Order: sequence, then C-alpha cells, then structure tokens
Amino acid sequence: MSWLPELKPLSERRLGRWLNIGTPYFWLGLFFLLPFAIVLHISLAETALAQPPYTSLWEWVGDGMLQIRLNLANYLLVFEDELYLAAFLNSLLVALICTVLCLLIGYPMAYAIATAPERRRVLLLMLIILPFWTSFLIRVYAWIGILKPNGLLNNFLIWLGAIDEPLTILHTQAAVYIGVVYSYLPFMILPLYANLTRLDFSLLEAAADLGCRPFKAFRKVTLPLSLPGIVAGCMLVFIPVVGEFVIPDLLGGPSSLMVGKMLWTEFFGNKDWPLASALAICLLALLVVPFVMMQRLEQRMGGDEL
Amino acid sequence: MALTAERRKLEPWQDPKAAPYVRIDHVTKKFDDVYAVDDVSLDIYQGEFFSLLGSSGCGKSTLLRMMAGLERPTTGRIYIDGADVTDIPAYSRPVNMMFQSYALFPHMTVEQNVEFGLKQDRMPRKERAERVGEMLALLQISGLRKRKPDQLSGGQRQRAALARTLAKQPKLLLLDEPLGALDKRLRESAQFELVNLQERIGITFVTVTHDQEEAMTMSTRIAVMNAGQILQVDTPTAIYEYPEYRFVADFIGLVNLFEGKVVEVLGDQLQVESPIGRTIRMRTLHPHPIGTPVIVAIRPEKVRLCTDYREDGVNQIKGVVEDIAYLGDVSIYRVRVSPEMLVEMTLTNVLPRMEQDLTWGQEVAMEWSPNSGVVLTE
Repeated sequence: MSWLPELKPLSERRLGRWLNIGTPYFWLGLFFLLPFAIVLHISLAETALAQPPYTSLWEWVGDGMLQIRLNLANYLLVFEDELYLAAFLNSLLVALICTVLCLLIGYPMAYAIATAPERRRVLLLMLIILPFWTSFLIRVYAWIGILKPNGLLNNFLIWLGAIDEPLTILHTQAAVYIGVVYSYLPFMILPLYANLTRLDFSLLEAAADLGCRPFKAFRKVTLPLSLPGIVAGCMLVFIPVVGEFVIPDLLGGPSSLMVGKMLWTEFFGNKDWPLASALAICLLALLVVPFVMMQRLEQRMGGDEL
Repeated sequence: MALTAERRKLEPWQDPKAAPYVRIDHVTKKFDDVYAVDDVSLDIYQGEFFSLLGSSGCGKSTLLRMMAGLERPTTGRIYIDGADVTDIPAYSRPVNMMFQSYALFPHMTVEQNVEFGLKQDRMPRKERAERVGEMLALLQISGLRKRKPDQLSGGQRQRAALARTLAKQPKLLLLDEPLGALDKRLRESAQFELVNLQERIGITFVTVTHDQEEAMTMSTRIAVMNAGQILQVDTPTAIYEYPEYRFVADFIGLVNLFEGKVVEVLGDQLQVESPIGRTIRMRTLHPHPIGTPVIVAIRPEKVRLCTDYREDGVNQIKGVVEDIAYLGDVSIYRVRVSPEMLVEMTLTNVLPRMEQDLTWGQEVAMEWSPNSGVVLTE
C-alpha cells in the first residue's frame, strides 16, 4: 500500500504536538506567571534600605531550619487605608464612565465605517489608526496645550464669543475623561468594526421585510449580534484604564486619585516596593472579575441562551 | 378562442378582463450609471407561480427587491393588488421575501425566527404561538423549533426561512433563488414541494432563478431577462417550444441555430437557404418576406436519424459524429456538419449504449420536420 502517506513514528509526532501546544504555555509562563510570582513575592516582603529595597522571605536560621516570613501588613494597609480604597473605587468609576463614553462615541463610528463603501473604509480605518504613529506620551502632552487656560480650546471659545473667561479644564477630572476617551477610542472602535463588518446586512433587510422599522431592527438584530464586539471593546478600554497612570498624572489634578498613579508614587516616590506590589496584586485580582464575566458571556453566546 | 372558466382560472393572463395582482409599470433602476433594470413592464396575476429567469447580473434580483421594497425604482411605478406601493417602505408592504442566503437571525431559535414577523404586527401571544405551530407543522419542522440556524442542515434552513416568510400570510411571496443553496437531489424534491405548498396556500409566488430546469418545473409563467430587460414572458412550454428571441432559445435548453435567408414563402412555411448549403423548410408564426435574414431554431430532441438522405433533400443534413454525451436515458450526439457548425441531436437510448452502432467518427444523416422549430429574426 505504497499510496498511503508514510506515518512518522509515534514518539516523533508526540514531540511535535508538545512543541506546538507548549510554546504558548512557555511564553505565558516566562512573561506572565514568573513576573507575577516575583511581584507576589515582593508584596509579602518588608521594605528595607537595601538593593533591591525589600527583605528576603526566607532565611536559614541554622540547625537545618528554614524560616519563612510572610508579611501581610501591606495587604492589610491596602484594605484599611481609606486612601487606597478611594483610589480603587475612583479608578473603577473613571474606567466605567470612560468605557461607556467610548462605547457611545465608538459604536456609531464603527458602524459608519463598517457600512461605508469599500474604498472609503480603508481610508477611515487609517484615520483611526493614524494617531498610533505618534507616541502616546506626546499625544497626551499635546492635550495640555489644547486644554490649558490660554490653550487652543479656550482661545477658540473666546474668539467665538462663547465664553469671556478661560475655562479651567486642565488638571480637573474632566481633562482626565477627555484624555482617556481620546486615547482609548480606537481600542473600542477596532473590535466593534471587526464585528460589524462581519454582520450580514441581509439580516436587516429580512427584519425590514418582516415589518420591523429600522431603529427596532437595530435593537433586535444588529445590537445582539454585535455583543461580542461590544464586550471585547469594553474590556480593551476598561482594563487598561483602571490602571492608567500617564493621563491622570499629566492632565488630572492633584485630587484625581487613581490606582496607577498611586502605584507609581509607592514604587518610585516612596521606594516602598512591597506595598506597591500588594497594590498591583489587588488591582490584578480586581480585573479578573470583569474578565471572567466576559468569558461567561462568551460561553453563553455559544450555548442556547441569549 | 373562447376561454372556459377553468382555463380562465388556470391561465388568468389569457383573460383580458382579469386585473393583474402585481403590476410593474415601466420600472427602471439605475445604480450610478448602470441600468440594472431597464424600462420593465410586467403583469403578474393572483395565484401564479411566476419565475424571473436569467443569468447573474441580468437584473432579476433587483426587480424582485423592488417588489419587496428593498430598492426604490429610479423611475416607474409598482402596484400590488391595485395599490401603488412604489413609495411604501419594505416594513409596511404586504409582501414577504425569502432571501437567497435565507437570512435567518443567527441569535434566535427557529421558533423565534418564525415569530419575529408576527411580533412586529403586535399579534397577541396566544395567537402568535398558534400560528408559529401551524407554520412549523406545515413545513414539517416542528421538531426543530428550539434549534438555532447554525444547528440546521441546508434543507432545514430553507424550510425555516420559508416558514418565517409565510407566517405573516403575505399577499405576495417573493423568493430569491429559493433552492440555490440546496444540493441537486434535494433541490429536485424541494421543487415539487414548493409547488404543492403554493397550490395549497394559494399565495402568489414570484421567484428569481438562474436555473432553467427549476423555472420550467415550478412556474406557471416565466419571464426571461437579459441585460435589465424582459425578453419574453410565457408559459414554460411556450418559452421552450416557441422562443421569440435567439437569446431565449439559447438560454433555455439546447438548440441548433441555422442562420440563413428566406428564399420562398409557401403558405405558413418558409423556405430558408442556409450558407452551409442546405435548404430548410420551417413553419412560421410571423410572416417574413423573401430576402429576410432569419435564424431557424431546432431543438436537438426534434432532430432524428434520416434513412432516405438525398443531396438536395429539404430539412436534411449530413455530418460526422464528433462527441457523444451519454446521459443514461438519452445521448446527445454532436455532429460536425460544416467546419463552423455542429448540430446536436438527442436520441433516446432504446438499446443499451454499447449495443448501438452509432459511434465517434461515423457519418450520420439527420432530418427534422417542418413544424419542429421556430424562425427567429433576432
């Protein structure tokens, strides 16, 4: 039976399969699990005036005794100090508001691009992606120039005659919202666009044919079918915004408490690596919740519900 | 010819007093600079199973979509049941359409899909459930009511889509390539089923198809379209036996086309001299004066073997068998009669193929009768 393809020996095939499946695990292990273990390790240590600035968790104390000291004080502090709690809640609130704003602005934009003629679609997508060609930091700095008291926006509004005195926008919470929505809008638009281009528009025609008016057809057909895109976009905005540091630091005022900024201060300002690590671990735990929710939803979409 | 009551019912288009159910009045649809539908007028009567037949891009789907209200005519009017619906949007028309892709809502079950249109009409819940049950039973998919479209086979999807369009009891059902997505075997049984269904519920059906066999099997009448225009509207038999244009003759089935000039008129028959050196005599439905360039169209199954071939014989031709397509029941012989022309002849395989003596490279004489074809001018 020479026409049958020759099979490789079993051991060789098994090796190939291991390599195939093992690569992403290796990657995740090296670049996610290991750093996570290090951060977890630091969060349980104590600060020390040393290099690195924390104590070791274990110590040989002679007689074959290994002493392990776990310091939970950092975690207790995170939960007891109202400042940290407020920072967490504020971060979540800012992220939530920004996600909703991004969705409200991004959905119509994504829909418009997805329904535009093929030729124009490429151009419109380019315009969405174009800002990425400039450094994120520079774009956020540019907003200072726009929002400051004698900046572009205020001068323009005064020139229009809409206001007499410059508005204080910079270093307020509003500036943070503007900056975040501006920066994260593409992350909302792109997954939504990817979802909406796959939408079969004959479904909307079928809805119309069955007596459904356009807005209702959108609610009954387009919206539920684009739910995976909405979820993906919201996750892509919500998760990084919770930990966002640069935008609140540059555009926000001294009162804009956010976890990211706090982390930065603890790490670099106070050199308190263990506390900063405990904050980071808490933040991570907090973000696992929406992620699990998304996975649940995806499973449900695949199943019989919805 | 006096029409009997029965005939008037079966063939309403023969009755000058019958009012058309759908009237397409000089409708044109332009996309940018392209005429998708070019000044089409068409009457469709109640209870008909009407087919728009043509190759892709001939405008048949656009015409159907205009009836559904999914496209607006650039000029012209569309009437349904006497009312001008040209400006009425799709969601307010008493018309339902089955899409080529079926367009079943993927996030809803079969039941919810069928119910969708009824919900738009704000039908009470109880009545709605009843109607959905009826529709699912009618199409024999009651067992699939909780399935989602991606859990259905092609045939089941077609039934679900049909149930959804029929649920609202439309005055007019439009079907865009209703059987296009089914495999050949399923398609054949589905054709008969669709016709039976239409006869049972009595709704006027308009379908779009590129499959001439499908159109022939199902339709009361067929409109053959080409380049945005309707060439001929007729019953399947008339379209096949008496095509009015070369395109129609060519599009439906196989045909031998002999070009030539009229040399003599003998009553209702014409004598045509063909450049390949043969004389053809053919009955004609329209008068053609001597000297008119004409095309004589003869179907391959109307060509038969000739036993008394003469060099000056009328309606006779001789050639060499070049190809044989064996289809089981019949064989199609392609016979080279001149360097430029092949004549196709279909013979029933009365004897098993290997016991027949007609084979490749063999010289064969053929003939046909003077009323076996039509004379065309364009």
